[in-house]
Amino acid sequence: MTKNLFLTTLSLAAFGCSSVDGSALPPQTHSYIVGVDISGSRTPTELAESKQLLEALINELEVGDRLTLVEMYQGGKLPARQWSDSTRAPRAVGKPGPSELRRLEDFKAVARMQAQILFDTTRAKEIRNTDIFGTLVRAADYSRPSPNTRRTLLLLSDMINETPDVTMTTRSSIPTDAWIRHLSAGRRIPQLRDVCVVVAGADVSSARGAAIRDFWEKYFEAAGTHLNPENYRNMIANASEVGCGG
Amino acid sequence: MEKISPPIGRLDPVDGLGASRNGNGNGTSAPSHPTNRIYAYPAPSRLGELSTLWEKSRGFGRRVRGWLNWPRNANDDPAGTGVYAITRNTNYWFNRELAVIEQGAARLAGEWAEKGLPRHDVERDGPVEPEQVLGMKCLELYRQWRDRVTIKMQDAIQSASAAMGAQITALRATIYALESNNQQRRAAEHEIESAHMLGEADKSRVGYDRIFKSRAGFWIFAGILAAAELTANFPVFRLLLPMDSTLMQLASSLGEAAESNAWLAGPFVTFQDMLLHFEAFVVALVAVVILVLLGKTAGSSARSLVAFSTRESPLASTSIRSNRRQNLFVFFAALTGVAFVLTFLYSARGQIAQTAADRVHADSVALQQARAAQAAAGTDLTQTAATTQRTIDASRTLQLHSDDAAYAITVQRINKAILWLNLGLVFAAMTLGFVYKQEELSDKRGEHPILGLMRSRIRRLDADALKLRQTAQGAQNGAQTEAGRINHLVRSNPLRDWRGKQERLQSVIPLFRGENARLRRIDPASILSFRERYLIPLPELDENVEFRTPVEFEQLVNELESLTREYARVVGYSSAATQPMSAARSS
Repeated sequence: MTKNLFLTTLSLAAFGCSSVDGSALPPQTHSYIVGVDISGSRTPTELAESKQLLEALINELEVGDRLTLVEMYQGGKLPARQWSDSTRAPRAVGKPGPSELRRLEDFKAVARMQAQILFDTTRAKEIRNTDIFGTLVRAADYSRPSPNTRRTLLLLSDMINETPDVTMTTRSSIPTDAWIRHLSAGRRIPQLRDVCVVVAGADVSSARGAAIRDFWEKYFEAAGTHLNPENYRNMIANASEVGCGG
Repeated sequence: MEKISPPIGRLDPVDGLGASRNGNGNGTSAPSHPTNRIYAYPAPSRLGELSTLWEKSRGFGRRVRGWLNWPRNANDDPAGTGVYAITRNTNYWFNRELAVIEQGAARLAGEWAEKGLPRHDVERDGPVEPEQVLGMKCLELYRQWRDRVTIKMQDAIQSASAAMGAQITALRATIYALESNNQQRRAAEHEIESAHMLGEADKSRVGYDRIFKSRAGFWIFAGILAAAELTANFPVFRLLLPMDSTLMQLASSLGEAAESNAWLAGPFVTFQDMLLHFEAFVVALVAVVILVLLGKTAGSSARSLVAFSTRESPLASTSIRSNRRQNLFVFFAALTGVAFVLTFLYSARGQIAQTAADRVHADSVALQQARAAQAAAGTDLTQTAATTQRTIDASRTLQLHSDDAAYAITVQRINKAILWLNLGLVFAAMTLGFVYKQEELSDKRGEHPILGLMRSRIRRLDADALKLRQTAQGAQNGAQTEAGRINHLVRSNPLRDWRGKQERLQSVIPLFRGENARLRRIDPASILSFRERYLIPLPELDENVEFRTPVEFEQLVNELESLTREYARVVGYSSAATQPMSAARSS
């Protein structure tokens, strides 16, 4: 009798635990907001590198990931082109089905097509202004907090804002901390809390580049996130490095 | 001098209508020979126009009587065929002939009276000349009457003998028929008795058991057959009946759910595929179920057809024949249904390649349109996304349908092989139905089939025997009646009235003398020639003379007695055999 009771209990325990596996955990998906800067300040090589990184990132997308492509704002009232889409959340984490993979491939194909359009070099020559602040505002809109979603903001830009208000073409023209505080006091800085910010294409070797990097570090601090210097790079060859490592 | 008697020239010859009245009595018309012509008074002429109407309508009356077939023969008179019937006609003839003589006497009396002859004051020795003539005529009439009566009686006797012979012949034939009837009846009774003995001895079972006894096994095999048929034929219907875009999206969504079932994904996806292609699935399922059902039914019916034999179980032959008729109909109906379904499947498979090719062509056009739309979208990200997705979908659909087209070509190429497979599965279903069929006709075993035939034959023989007995009885009675008539005619005395006839004839001479004297307005007694009575020398007749019996009469009587005994023997068996059958039928 005791033996039977033990076996029954063991069986029930085994049956109950059989559903406790990885598939029961909430799925972790990524949401990539990519800001594409094809302004004339960037060289064709830089644009090609950015395009390669974007395509590599697209290739790394998984089922349930969201990709948002935002063209860098040009200032004024001219709207920037944007595209945001995602695949359906996976039914089982780590075990995508054929139809999910098929949908993912379709999604990647569409994303590649969008990337190709965004990196149209003929259009790059026409763009004179780069409104990074406006782009960040729109990026903040796309990166609203979502459960079980890692949000990454990838900026494929030299991070040199060129608008009538702020022009970072020279070191002296880079805004000061007071300007950031002024904006923050006025709640004019977009909130990017818990958003991983990665920059690819920035100048990290010159003094102006360093000054610009310092500015953006403080700016993102004011935006509620942290720009890791490791993620402020001139070029990222491996798309898997796009992230904050956590 | 007034003539009260019509002249002899006014007598008209009697036509054929009155020929029977000439006394021949046989109903035939007398030949219209002048010597035999009978003269009679014409129709009355005192009624003037009515007489004219009578003359004109007489022919019409004859025709009407001919149509209505009125009796024109005196023998048809209810007086019958006895002595009276014979003598009545003869008497009628005699009276007519006598009337003619009397008229002649009146005419001669008138002619002589005109001349004042015979002279009243002259006594003559013997009768005058007219009296002699009239006497000879009367004598001749008297002899004719005697011969006529004698001949007619003898003719009647001979006719009765012939009728008796005919009745005896009919009686003999009827007795032979009754004898044959009895023999056939005995044979039928023997057959019935033999059949009863055979039925009591035959207790063998009429039925058969299942060769394949497992009910679960039957359903398993039936399910396998149906599943095999469905699996083999469903893709064909899926290719024939295209799925719309909504169902394709739904199929993709459901496919995701199915994929989570790991190793069950295959049958799960297949099952979902069937449900998504619902029209194709229903058609395929119905076709397969009908095919298996018809095959099984045909096999079951074939078992009934080959399992029972009327030779092996003659007592159950009625049930077996009924069972065989029904199963034969079911068998051929099932085979016809199988043929129709297989023909449908075969022809459907023969068309799927073309259908699939048409679908590929349509998909190619759709892909070209999607690519054109994609190119037209330019750098518009929103439109580009939609058109790119559409292009991808169109490409994938084209790919799927291209694969289907290749599959269809393959299927069409092996269409005959699939037909053989279908036939094999149908035969398998037939075999399954054959081995799973069980039937029992033992409790429906009836009597030997020959019993019904024999009973029917006996009933027919009994009915024939009844008619034959009636016929024989009638022939026997008829023969006996004719024999009695012959005896009666032979012993009758139709000439016993000869004295009356003589007296009538003797009255002719007084008639002549009285008429002559009346016309001369003198008393006949005052004429000396008429004083002496003149009697016509008519001979006396032997009224007790018997007529001759026919020479064959004795033989006929003996034969009739023999046949009567034979009939009593034959009819005894027939009556004894009929009564139990009647009692059995009534019970």
